This record gives sequence, structure tokens and C-alpha cells, in this order.
Amino acid sequence: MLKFIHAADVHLDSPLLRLEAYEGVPAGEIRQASRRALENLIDLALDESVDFVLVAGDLFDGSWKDYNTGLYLISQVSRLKDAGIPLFLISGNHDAAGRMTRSLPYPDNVHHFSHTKPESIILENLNVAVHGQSFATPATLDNLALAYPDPIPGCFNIGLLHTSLTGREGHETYAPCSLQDLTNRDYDYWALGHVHQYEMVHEDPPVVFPGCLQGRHVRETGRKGCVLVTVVEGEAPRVVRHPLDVIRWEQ
Amino acid sequence: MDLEGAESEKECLDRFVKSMEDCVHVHEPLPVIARVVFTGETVAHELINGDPIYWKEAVRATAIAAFGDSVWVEKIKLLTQAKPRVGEKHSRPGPLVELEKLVHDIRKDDGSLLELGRELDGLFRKLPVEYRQGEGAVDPDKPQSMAQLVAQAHALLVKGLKGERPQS
Repeated sequence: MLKFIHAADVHLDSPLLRLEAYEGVPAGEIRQASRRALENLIDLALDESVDFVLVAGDLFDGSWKDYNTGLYLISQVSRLKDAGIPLFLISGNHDAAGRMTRSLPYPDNVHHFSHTKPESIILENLNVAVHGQSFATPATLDNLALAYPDPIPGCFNIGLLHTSLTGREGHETYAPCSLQDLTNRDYDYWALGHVHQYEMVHEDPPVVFPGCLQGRHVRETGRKGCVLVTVVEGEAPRVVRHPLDVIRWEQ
Repeated sequence: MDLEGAESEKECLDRFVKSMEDCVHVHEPLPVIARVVFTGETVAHELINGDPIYWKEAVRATAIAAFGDSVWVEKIKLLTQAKPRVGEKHSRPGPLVELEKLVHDIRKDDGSLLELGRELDGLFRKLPVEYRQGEGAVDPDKPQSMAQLVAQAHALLVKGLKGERPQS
């Protein structure tokens, strides 16, 4: 059995502007919400003893104003390292290589996919191949999916991609591609990011937007979190939503 | 922390981890609060001094990843010296080598360092207070302080001339 977490759009330390305008608003709690949600994600990975964690872009909201954001992230991903859990990351439009002016060396359990070409990482002990490519620039308008590698025979193949497919309301159409572009790759699971609303785009193979980890404003309503994917040989992958948000917006 | 002969950022950080492992082991189960001074002649000198803020945070990040709450890196001081890569000095003569020689000569001569300090004193006085006081302040009357400043300026200049952009 294989078990992994698929998350996206963490937007760590995303600034929440104009909160002071509202009397009595719990501004401190809201500002810390993205960190608390990330801690919930790591807790879930440890509690479920998952084999690995995927983050499909926009881990960061943009370039860090100082190194505290990076140091905080390292402290959290190190908890995964201590448990022997790999973390696979791609950059999205918010944390594209050309936008980030600061970085820090990741622990060796983290693989951050290249922004120059698609890569494949094979976890031989699990018979899993993860294919991915980061954004080089925020406005990536190429169809990245077309250049993703062929599936590795005998492996459970996962595509990690930041995209809104052919377009989703409220989201720029970056790395545009059709559902067919993805299903034609013959992967077993597509781990997407960019769209902040959960959506199971396709069931077989699963093509999934887990939504953002934490709603950041009143237009990002409803429960937010990740999906936990369980794969049993001979059966369809089981995809279960897990809310991780610490503040929930409703209209 | 002696970085003598270290060839890359990774090798420097690996040495740091190894050294801290020994320190943590000796003091277990007590947490370690460390003040780290990096010394030695290394080709990583440019990388370290060309972007000292990045380097210090990279060391802290490495400590967090390796030791979690067991180690807290309080202060970091950079006293490394440049070491040319094997063959580089002779095979690629040019402005970078001339610059290296000039910096080398200035750093070895207290008189030149003090003269430079006097020339820059007016500029130092105009800097914001955080650059004039505390750990990172430059003292134009101390050759060692000026030598460190020259080393950092050299590393930053070389990095810029080679087209590498500092992160911080």
C-alpha cells in the first residue's frame, strides 16, 4: 500500500492587508493562519505515516521580506526529515524562480523540481515516479505538460503541475493545458495546484486540485486543506479531503 | 570553524554540521547555543563574503535542519580568506587577478588599512546607526576591522563582476 499527501497553494506568510480597518478582528491569528495550517499538514503527514508529501506550487506567496519565512519552513520540513518522509515541491506563479530573491538550502529530504526542464524522481523502494517542473517566471504561458516525461513502466507515476488547465474563474491561465493533455500522459495521478478551490477534475486517473491550505480572505470560502491519497494494488486510488485550515471564511 | 580547503557551499555546511554534531554529543542532553567563527583559506570565501546575510541564514537553516531545537546559532563571524581555485590564477590572468593582488597587498599592510579607514571615515559617519554600532559595525581605527571590510567588498565585487547576484 502507498500513502501520500497532495497539497498546494500554501502561500506561507501571505500578508493579509487592511485587517486593521475592522474593529475587533483577530488580526494576529489571521496573520499566523498560514503557518498553523502548514503545521497541521506536517502533523497529518506524521500521524498518517505517509510515504511522501507533494506540494504543487505556491508554497510561498512571493519573495520573502526577510529570512524568517524560510527558516520557519525549514523547521517544519525538518520534522518530515526526522520521520524519513520526502517532500516534493514545484514552484508556481507566486514563487517562480524569477520572482524569488532569497532562498535557503533545503534539508536532503526535500526535492525542489527544476524550472529549466521537467524532471523525474524515482522512489525505488516504493515503485513510484514523480514527474514535475517548476515555473521559471510568474507568467508561464507554455503548456508544460506536453514536455513531461513518459511514464516509468512498473511505477506508480505522478505528475506534479501548477496550472489552471484551460482556465478557472478567478485564476490566471498559467501553464495552460487540457485535461486530455494530462490523461494522454498515462500517469496514475495528477497532482495539480494553482486553483484554490478543491476539485476532482477527473476520476480515472485522478486529476485533482486540492485547493489552498488556508483561505486567505472572504472570497476563499469553505473548508481548505489537502488530500490524502491511498493506493492499493489493483484498486483505484482513494482520494480523501482533509481540512487543515485554522480560520474559515463563509459568505 | 576552519573551512581551510573547502571547495563549495555544501562542503562548508557539511563541515559545520560535523563540528556541531561533536559539540552536541559532548553536551547532551543540554541544548547548545553557538557563536560560530568561520576561518581558513577557501575558494568559498567569495560566496560567503559576497553575500554574508545569506550565508549566515544558510548556516542557521542548516542547524535547524540537522539539530532542530538542540542547537541555536546566536552569532556568526566571517573571517575566511580567499583561495584561488587550482590553476585559475595562472590560466586566467586579467583584472580579477590584479584586483586580488591589490586586495591582498592592502590586507597585509596595516598602514594601508588605516589610511583607507581615514578616507572612508566621513562616509561611515553618514551611515544609519545600525551600521555604526553593534556586531557588524566597522571601526576605521582598527586594521582588522578594515581588513574584514575589504575582504567583504572584494568578494562582493568579484561576485558582481562574474555576473552572480547576491540574494540579500
